[in-house]
Amino acid sequence: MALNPSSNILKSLCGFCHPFKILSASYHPKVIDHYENPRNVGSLDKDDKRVGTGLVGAPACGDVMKLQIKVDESGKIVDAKFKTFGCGSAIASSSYTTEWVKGKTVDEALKLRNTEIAKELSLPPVKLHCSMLAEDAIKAALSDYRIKQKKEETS
Amino acid sequence: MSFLIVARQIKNILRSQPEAKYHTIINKYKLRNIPYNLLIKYASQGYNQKVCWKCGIERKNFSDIFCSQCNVIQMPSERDNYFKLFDIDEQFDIDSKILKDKYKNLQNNLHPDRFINRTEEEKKISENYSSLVNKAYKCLATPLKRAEHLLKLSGSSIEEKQSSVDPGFLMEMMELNEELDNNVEPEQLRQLNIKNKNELERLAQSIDECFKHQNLDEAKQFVIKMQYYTSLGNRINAKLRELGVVD
Repeated sequence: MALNPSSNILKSLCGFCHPFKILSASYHPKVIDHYENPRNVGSLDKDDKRVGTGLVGAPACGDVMKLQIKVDESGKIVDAKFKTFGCGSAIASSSYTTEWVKGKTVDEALKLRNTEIAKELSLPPVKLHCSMLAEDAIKAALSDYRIKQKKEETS
Repeated sequence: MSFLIVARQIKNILRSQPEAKYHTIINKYKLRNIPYNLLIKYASQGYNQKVCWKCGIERKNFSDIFCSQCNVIQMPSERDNYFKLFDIDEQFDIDSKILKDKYKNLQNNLHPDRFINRTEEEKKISENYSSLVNKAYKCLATPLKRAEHLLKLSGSSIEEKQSSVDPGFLMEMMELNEELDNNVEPEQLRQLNIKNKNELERLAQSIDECFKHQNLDEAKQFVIKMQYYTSLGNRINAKLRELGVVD
């Protein structure tokens, strides 16, 4: 059996060594890392025609997530920023998504699935909707970018 | 033997023979090394409300906590509808004082401390009943949770996957949250808090109106908005606490 950080043996050992850390142990270390050191927090100019903005919300928990991408002439995503007001899993999901999406093309980025995000961050079932939110956000940003580009072509 | 099979058997016995006494069944299965709490849980699911589980006498009033004959604690007559559990009208606009009085009254009678010298069954029932009452009180005492409970009872709860509310509203929430991030002065935070509380108050009134007119879809939209403003309020309060400001 591989001894990776998510293995149950290590988890239970951690619980024994640091009984007071049990509460935070319910989040996977990767989630905590993204939560404590979020990547790419901030905003891009939403009026820039090379920027796509996705704004989504989770009605059941009141989280709001904004995800923006900047695309260069060759269709490659050169920058991504996010701002999320919500739980740790929602912040980690959007942070991870911005990291993942950078350097991908618009078409590649469309293929990101929430299951991938959830797997990467080892989200528990009750937090799966946070990764869905991130998937919705990136899709909304990509579609916003495409709509802008179409307008550009027709005008 | 699997617990589920036992649970099914207990339920069947209780259903087919209403006169069967709950505690004799429990005693029978206790011998099979089944964890006591599971046994109680499963048995109480199929438990016949109409008779006292202990003495088997027919119960006149199901909402009575104790059996009129042997004075032993009964299982909750209602688990899903918190309004019925507290015997109050099923509406959004409730009198919080009446709710609190009912809650205190119930807990006075139900608290596990009162059952220290009683049998295991009675202790367990009081524990379950008392924690159910706590949960129900927490739900009904909070306007947002109460509204969600009402929606759930009318079969239109808010789904996690539910698609987003209107973009304009989301933008507004984003801006309010950003405004909060830029405000670090306690006085500004207090102002934001007051503004937020007023908004929540307005939403509560709208929700009440909707429920009164049986307008569930619209109520749902307001409840969702209330959820966003509640999250914002939690963030404001967390920030105030960080600054050491207590209301």
